[in-house]
Amino acid sequence: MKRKLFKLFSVVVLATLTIALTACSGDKETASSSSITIGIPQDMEDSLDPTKAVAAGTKEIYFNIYEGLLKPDENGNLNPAIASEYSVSEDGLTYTFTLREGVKFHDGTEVTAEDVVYSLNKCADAGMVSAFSNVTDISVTEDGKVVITLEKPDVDFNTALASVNASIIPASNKDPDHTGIGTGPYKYVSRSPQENFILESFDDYWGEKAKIKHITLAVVANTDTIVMNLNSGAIDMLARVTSAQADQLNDNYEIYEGTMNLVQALYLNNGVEPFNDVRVRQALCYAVDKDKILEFVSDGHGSKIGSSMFPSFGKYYVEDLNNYYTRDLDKAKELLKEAGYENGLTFTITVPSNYTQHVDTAQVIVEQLKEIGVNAEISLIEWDSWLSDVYSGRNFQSTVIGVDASTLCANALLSRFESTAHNNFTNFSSEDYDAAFAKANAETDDELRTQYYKDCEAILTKEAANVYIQDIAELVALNKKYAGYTFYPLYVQDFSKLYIVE
Amino acid sequence: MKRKKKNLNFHIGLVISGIMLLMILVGLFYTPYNPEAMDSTLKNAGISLAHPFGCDNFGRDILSRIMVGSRTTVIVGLATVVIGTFFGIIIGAFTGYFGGLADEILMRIMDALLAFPSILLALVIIGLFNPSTWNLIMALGIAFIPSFARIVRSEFLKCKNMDYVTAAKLNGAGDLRVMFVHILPNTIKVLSSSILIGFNNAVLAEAGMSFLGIGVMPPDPSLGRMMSEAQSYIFSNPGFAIFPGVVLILIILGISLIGSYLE
Amino acid sequence: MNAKKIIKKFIFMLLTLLLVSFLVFLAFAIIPGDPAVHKLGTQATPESLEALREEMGLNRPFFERYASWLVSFVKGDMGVSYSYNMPVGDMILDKLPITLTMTVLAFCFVLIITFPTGILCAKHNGGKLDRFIVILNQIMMSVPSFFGGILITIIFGVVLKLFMPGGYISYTKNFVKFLGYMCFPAIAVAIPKAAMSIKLLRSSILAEAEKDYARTAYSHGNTTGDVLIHHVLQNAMIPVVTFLGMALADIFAGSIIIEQVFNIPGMGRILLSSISNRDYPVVMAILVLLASAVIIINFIVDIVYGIIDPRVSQDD
Repeated sequence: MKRKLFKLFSVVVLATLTIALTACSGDKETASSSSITIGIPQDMEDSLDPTKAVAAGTKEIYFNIYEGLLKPDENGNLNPAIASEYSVSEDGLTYTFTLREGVKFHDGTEVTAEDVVYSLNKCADAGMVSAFSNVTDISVTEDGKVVITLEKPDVDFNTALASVNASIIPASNKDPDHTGIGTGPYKYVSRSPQENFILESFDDYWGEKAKIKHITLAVVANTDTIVMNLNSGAIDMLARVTSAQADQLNDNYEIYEGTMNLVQALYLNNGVEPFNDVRVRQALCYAVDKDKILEFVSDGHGSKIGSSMFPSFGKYYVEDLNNYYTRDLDKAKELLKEAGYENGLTFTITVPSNYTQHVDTAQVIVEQLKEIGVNAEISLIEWDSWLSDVYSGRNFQSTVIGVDASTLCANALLSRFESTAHNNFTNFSSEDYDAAFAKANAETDDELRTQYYKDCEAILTKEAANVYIQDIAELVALNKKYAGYTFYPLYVQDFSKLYIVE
Repeated sequence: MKRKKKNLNFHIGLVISGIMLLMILVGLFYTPYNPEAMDSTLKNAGISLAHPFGCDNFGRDILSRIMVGSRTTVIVGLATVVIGTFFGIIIGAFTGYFGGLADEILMRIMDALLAFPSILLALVIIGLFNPSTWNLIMALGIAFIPSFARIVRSEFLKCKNMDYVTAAKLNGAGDLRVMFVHILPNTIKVLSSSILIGFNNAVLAEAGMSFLGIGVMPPDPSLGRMMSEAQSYIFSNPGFAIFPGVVLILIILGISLIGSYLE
Repeated sequence: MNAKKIIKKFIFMLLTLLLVSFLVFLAFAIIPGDPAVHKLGTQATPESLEALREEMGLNRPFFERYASWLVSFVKGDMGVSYSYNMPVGDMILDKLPITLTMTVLAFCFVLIITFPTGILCAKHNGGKLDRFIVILNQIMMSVPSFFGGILITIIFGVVLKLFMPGGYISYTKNFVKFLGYMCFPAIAVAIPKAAMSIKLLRSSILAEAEKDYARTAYSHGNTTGDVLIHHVLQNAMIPVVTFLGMALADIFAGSIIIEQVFNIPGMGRILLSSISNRDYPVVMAILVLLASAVIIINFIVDIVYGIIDPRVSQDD
């Protein structure tokens, strides 16, 4: 008995040690020359059906797998993709698309007009792209063109067609939730929950083919281990590292700097006390020091903003609004006094705990507001609770969050402030704004339309709808073995431009 | 020999716990710096005379934050143990003393709860609400009730037929009096060492939960929270993680040395 | 322990299992936060939410939902994950080997560390080595596992380069490398547990050595080491083995945190992400499975104890 026990024991010891040692010795992975491992901070939990994709983190990856009739490029232009050309009728109600010849799906079949009609109908049914609610009919003409008819004119409708949700998928695919088939430069291979998502380049891609064959998107759930994972070589690329992380990376990495294309702000619930008083909102604007926030949160990287618009939207962006409120503590206190809060004010900032940058920003704001006698408290909640309580339920006082644009038009960032908008979570309400916004939407002349949008932005600033802070710096860490990272004015990642440095 | 060694352990434990307690008490009235004051020029500053433990990513003094943070950590530990013991004693005493159907039902529920490791239970309870210091205390407290209830119950089972209990009953003492005046003091020895172990487990659980981001809320410092914040700066500012870690280890070490003497 | 008692205990075990499943289901029914809201994110409209709730069966009465869930669970159908749209059973089967491997490895490490060290300590009771180990033990017991994990990553990963921090390799891709990687988190989990069981083994050996049979063995001229290994250890092992049995569940719970430090996509990761996603089917399945395992292990230990030691079966 005891002999046996001892024998068994020593066998276990030896076996474990042998395994440990042999396994450790051969740890260096012999990476195939055309593969890359890219870290993603959250898993992609969505359906593989692009028309249903919700999370920004999913859509930015799907950009490589799926394509719509049109496709945005890095300069903010809309280029024909599945469609080779299109025309708009004079009344702005009918869009006619000629399909590109010989575009193939990942399963080898060719894209037909029926696939396009099927996909766009699916997109309209899923309701993810608001512009599609304006569509009355999608049909195929006898010569194989696709015609989309709108109820009201919408000059920006083409931007909606470039959204990931409006991607073209084969009508023959019976299980689009689990079988991802698109037309993009990369095709879906496999996924393992909370582990990875694997892509492979598509050899029959109609456009410029991807240069790297295999892509493994590895989930790095604990963002605090990012530095170690990069330095050890376990991952080759990670978008959106913080400046503190970037500082700790070794020489193998190149840091690409851009912006995230988010409107980060201290969003105030204009519908409840104390923020239903414009003077209180303005007081906060005067008390918050954007430069200091940028310095603390990302070592001064990023761009300050003054309204619901960021610099990469070019013609719509109004730089002057950034300095409408310069830090002035006396003025802030005076405004608070006028509003009846001379003895101080207490409110809660609700922040989703999974976004370090927003949590850090909130911490700095709390400190800055103390200087005008405002006592702000932070409440960290799960992303899910944030969606239900703050975003859908509008049951909050203030929150720090970044809002992104789903399409390449100003509308995407401004429509939510219309007083009746279903997603107006800050309960902003201004007759001037509604009027200016309606005027912009009805206008078909691009220059005038842009001017009206700019008027909208100015109203948001003057009314101090929210304390607009910054478009957060996006730092991308890429191993020097690779190059070609390209920033877009939208929340997307383009892997097809990455290549290996010889 | 054995006794002496145990005594030494006890003394070392007392000294360590005493120093920790002193630090926390001093922290109530005085910290070298305002623990929440940010200074961009001191971001991740290293060890210096002015800041003996360095500064964190917002330029806040780490020593001051540890003084306040260990208070939070200890309060969470204490409150958890108080909740766990209080309800544990009530449930354990009544079920152990009276037995019967209520005992069976309550013990089944306790068994069911005990089947989950306590941190898992706390995690799920926190999932019911939003994370905050109070919810954390509540979650951990509830998670600790079943084990205390079990210990108290088995002590009561052991004691309820003993001579002194029978004697008290013959003298006309009511059930409540017997339970809490006669039996309870006799369980103190067993209970006190499980309270110390429970305290340590609660402190570790707080650290673990805050590490997972579902414990104490910023900008309030707690040792667990500081260590989780520090992970991102482990190369540029190792002290940010190490000092709170060492203080946490010392708190637990002190208590467990005292506890091992009581055993 | 007679058959009647065993049957009684068995029925109680089934009741406890039922209670566990009910508590878990209840907890997730009253949690604030709506899985439909999570699924639709920022694009949700009241109509689409209502439609999705109907589709997910969230509008049915509580007991109806519980009953249908329980019946299919017993049949082995754990439902479909809300967020991944795949069967929960498949997800768990995919991740179980990872966590199981880590638990088994950690358990092996605990054994490897505990027995030689515990015996060594007891043999040199009061000596320098013993005192050193006792102190080291106290400190090891006080180290939170994630802190230990971070230290191990720095020492073995960053400084000694024995493994690639964060470079987890799937067991389907390369099993040997997978095992090699899993050794390090397993060590982090094993250390505090080993410290506790060394302490237990040491004091249990010392207590046994005081007993008559051990004294007799000494008087027959056996050396200390012989007596320890041949006579005392077997008896001293009983409380330690019990502790180790209980420790299995703790090791599993500890792996949730350690998986975060080492970036391992195991059961803990799935559990955490499912809790925050309100992915009820996944959370409930994992919790119920884990609790069932614990309850069944306890039941077996209970029965075995009743057979070995009749005193225990009296009550409790």
